[in-house]
Amino acid sequence: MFRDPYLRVAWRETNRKWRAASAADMAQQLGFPLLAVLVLLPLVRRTFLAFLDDPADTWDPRVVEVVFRANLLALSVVVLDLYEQVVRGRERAVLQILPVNPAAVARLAGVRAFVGLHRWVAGGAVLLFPIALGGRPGLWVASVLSAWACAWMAVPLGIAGHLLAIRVAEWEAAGPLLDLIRGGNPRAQAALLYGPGATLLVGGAALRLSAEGVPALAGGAVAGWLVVLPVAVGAAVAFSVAPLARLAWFRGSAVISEIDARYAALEDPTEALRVYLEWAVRFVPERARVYALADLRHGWRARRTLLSLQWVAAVLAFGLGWTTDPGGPFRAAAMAAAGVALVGAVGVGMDVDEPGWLRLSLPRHPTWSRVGRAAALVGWALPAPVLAAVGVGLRRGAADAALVLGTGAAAAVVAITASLLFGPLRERGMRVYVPLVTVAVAGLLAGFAAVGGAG
Amino acid sequence: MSDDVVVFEGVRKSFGRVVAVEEVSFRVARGSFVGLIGHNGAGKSTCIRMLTGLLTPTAGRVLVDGEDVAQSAIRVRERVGAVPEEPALYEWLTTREFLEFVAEVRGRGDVGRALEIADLGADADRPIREYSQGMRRRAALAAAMLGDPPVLVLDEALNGLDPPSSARVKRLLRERVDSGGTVILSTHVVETVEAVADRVVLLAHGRVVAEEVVATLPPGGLERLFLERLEASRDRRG
Repeated sequence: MFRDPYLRVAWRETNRKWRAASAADMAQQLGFPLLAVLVLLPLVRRTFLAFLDDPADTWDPRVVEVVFRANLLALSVVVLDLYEQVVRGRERAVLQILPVNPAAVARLAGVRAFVGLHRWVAGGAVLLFPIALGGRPGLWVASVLSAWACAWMAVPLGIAGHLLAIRVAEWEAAGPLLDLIRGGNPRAQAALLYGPGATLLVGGAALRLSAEGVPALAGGAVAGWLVVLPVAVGAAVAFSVAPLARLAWFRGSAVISEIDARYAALEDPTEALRVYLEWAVRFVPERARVYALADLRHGWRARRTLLSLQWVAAVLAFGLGWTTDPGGPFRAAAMAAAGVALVGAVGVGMDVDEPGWLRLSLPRHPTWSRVGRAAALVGWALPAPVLAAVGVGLRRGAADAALVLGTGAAAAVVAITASLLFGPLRERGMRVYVPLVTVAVAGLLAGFAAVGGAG
Repeated sequence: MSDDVVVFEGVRKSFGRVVAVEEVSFRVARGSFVGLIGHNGAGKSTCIRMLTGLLTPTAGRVLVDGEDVAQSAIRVRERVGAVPEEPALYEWLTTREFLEFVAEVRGRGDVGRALEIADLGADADRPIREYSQGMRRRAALAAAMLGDPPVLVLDEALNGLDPPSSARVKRLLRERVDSGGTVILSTHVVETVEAVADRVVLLAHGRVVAEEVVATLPPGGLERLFLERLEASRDRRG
């Protein structure tokens, strides 16, 4: 057993959760990542590793690009995961009133993220395995090593980034800059929102160099050491984590309280009540309007991060479509489909959140409440397919744009229908929704690829 | 060292243009039981959050044992045991394990005694997630009292307790004060404060509108005083 009390508690909790998990929970935890990798394997091979059909001596620059992007994606996921653990997680609520050792709390977040990250490294290794099968096992090993090195950097960098963001949130001198970029958010929130972006920028440089080192390592060149450069960066950053934690971890609670209170007390009294897309309820059938409004408000306030991520997917879809590369439309459609699938998951999550007593004491109309929910989900889901189609349309013409829009719309129909059907099953609903929609969306994308959209 | 263990000095807390508390000043003597009373939205929880370091004053300062709460996070938490309005606990641990963790973090504390005090001995090895609301609150109270921090701060901590548990907790808190500890209880229930507190600080619309020694008030006097001062505060605000 661990001597560190924080790790011991985490170990006990994890252990008990596993022991109490139902077969369905276990299937979700273990089976879903496996299923996702199996579904993604042919898609990744066709979309991102299509160059493997070319002669093996031409692969190097394309492998560099693929490894760099995969590592950047993994770094993004880790940074977002660590936000939950370092800044706003459940753990903070328990520990913030105790004289805890902030460095040990940060270490715990790091251990958790590091363990979780290895699933990504393993998944990445499987997805890149066609490189080895294609006859260049050395290049594959170097690619996996680069991903593993990224994991070593991502965790300390992510923790340090969030802790630094907390300090910046309270730093008077940064006020004017934060005011410039905060939009409608409280000033402190801007630091927490842009912190992950700054972390990606810093980490991105090391990841690029690491990816550049992959062919060199496979070829036995001296520059191959660059592959493990992120480990050195991670080690250097790790030294700053403990002092940063001592400076910033406790202050995080005050910063969060400040942000939450300011959201509730915005200067325009009606501003606090308005949410994203609230104006759109006028287009919803009258009997469903009250439900759509409630869902827009509840969804935005409870799941703002996920709905904002959907906008990130929309912007990425636009960027992926903004190319004359024949594979661009497929990548844009895939990103758009991921965005709408995320929105569907938000719908299921809203059902999971709803307390049972509320359903009993405030019954909802069975049909109109679902119409209202569907309207809210459609509103949230629109940006990704639309922006993907715009990006593709501007660079590759209307036909490809229509194909992307059609695929995005079909994915939205699948995701929203599944969300409406399975949401009422609450936790079980999420367990059904995730694999089902993943498989359905993968099928749609396979269909897209079959009609030539993958170039 | 002053005998005032908690000091609010000209504390103001605003969120943009919304002022939550204004010019709040009061002192809490060591070994006393102070009730912080106010209507909903009076600023009680804001004061408690500033006292426990979960909010930073916009102006003024809050001191615990002479330490500025905003500057000395760990030292203040060593001196203050807090029971928030909605206690957060490690749901998958048993209460015994949770208290052992808290004792280890605090570097002291008798878990067996804490369990006994909170009347959770029989349920000590059950996971907290199986607890009722009242049992969770008692577990949080046991954690706050563990290691005998000199100041105990409770934010609406008697909510959700059944009458026997509530009576037991009140007795415990009283015993704590009688043995030299300091308790600050925020509540909107006048009777609770009347029953257990030595002094009362009345908050209305973010300001301290009265400070009284409970024993000097006639029966039912606290409620009358509270309503009068609340009315006067409303009139001042127009």
